[in-house]
Amino acid sequence: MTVGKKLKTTLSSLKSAQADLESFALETENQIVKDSFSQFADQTKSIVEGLKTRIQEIEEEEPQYKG
Amino acid sequence: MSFIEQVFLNPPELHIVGFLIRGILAFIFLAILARLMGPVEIGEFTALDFIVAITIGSIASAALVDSEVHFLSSLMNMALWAFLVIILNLLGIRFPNLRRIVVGGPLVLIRNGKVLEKNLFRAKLNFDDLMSGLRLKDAPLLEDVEFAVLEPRGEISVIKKSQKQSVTPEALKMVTEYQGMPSIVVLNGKVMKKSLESRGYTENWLMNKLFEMGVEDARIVSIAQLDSNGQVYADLYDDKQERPESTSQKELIIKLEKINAELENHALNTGNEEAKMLYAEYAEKTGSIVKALKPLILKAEEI
Repeated sequence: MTVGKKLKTTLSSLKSAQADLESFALETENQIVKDSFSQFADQTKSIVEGLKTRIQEIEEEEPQYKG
Repeated sequence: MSFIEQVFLNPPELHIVGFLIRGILAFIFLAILARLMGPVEIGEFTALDFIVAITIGSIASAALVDSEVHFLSSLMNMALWAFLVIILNLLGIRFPNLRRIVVGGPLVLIRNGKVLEKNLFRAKLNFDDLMSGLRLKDAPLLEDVEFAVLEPRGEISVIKKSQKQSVTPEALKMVTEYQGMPSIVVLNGKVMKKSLESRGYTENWLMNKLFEMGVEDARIVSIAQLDSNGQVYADLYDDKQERPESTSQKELIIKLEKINAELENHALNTGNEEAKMLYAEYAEKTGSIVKALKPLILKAEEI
């Protein structure tokens, strides 16, 4: 697998983890737990954004790494 | 005779439409009787049930092919036999001895590991029948059987010697989670609101769960089941698609740990210094989320 492909795999796992965290936040009735899940979801979201940017950079600079 | 009289009485000849009417009426009548007599599974009949069923069927069919059979009398006798069986069964509840005399009670075929040949004779069973019954109850070896009983409905029930019984979680001293009844929450594309609400969930909650699995519209779901842990299993009309699964909280932790490992790998494999730091930072973040989640998830499950 190319670098780009590997990173994209991680990216999609991250997206799915983010969705999971968000839905767990919705489901739980315990306010403390709810807040924690939301916080983690946000953190994961920012990692997703950062990784997306990085993948774009790679694909622009070195097209041979495109996955 | 008028036409109506012809349908219900015993004319020498009957127009085919008359037979059609008899057919429809008899069918509906039988369906009602069957419902009143039930629920008894087919294959779970006593000998009496069996004979009564055949007789009622014969009475019905006679009137449907022979005009000279008195239709009203047929309907009456079908109902009579059905009610006699119902009354017999109801009396049998209050007077179990009566039931044993009329229908027969359970008969022990094997006691304390020994075959009771006299009872096999009374039951009119030969060894082939006995062995077949045992095999069907996963007890092919006589030496494994403590008790075998011929039930009034014809089935053979088996109690195995305790050494030969399957291992239970209890025997292994394993703690198991409560296993309750699952509910159907989506059927034929429609959300079963009553089922959901009786479990304490809302339609919104369900739609979120489905969304998580990649399902945007309940209409593509043919059937979805909710288990006692709040997990949803959905089957789609389109069987070519992958069955969607919703993530449990434990699966989420595993997922994040995997992501963490992947990020650390990326950090190791890249030559670019900036990227290395980026990936390492992300790895650390996901690592700490996992650390924080673990105790939280235990808490949530306790709730």
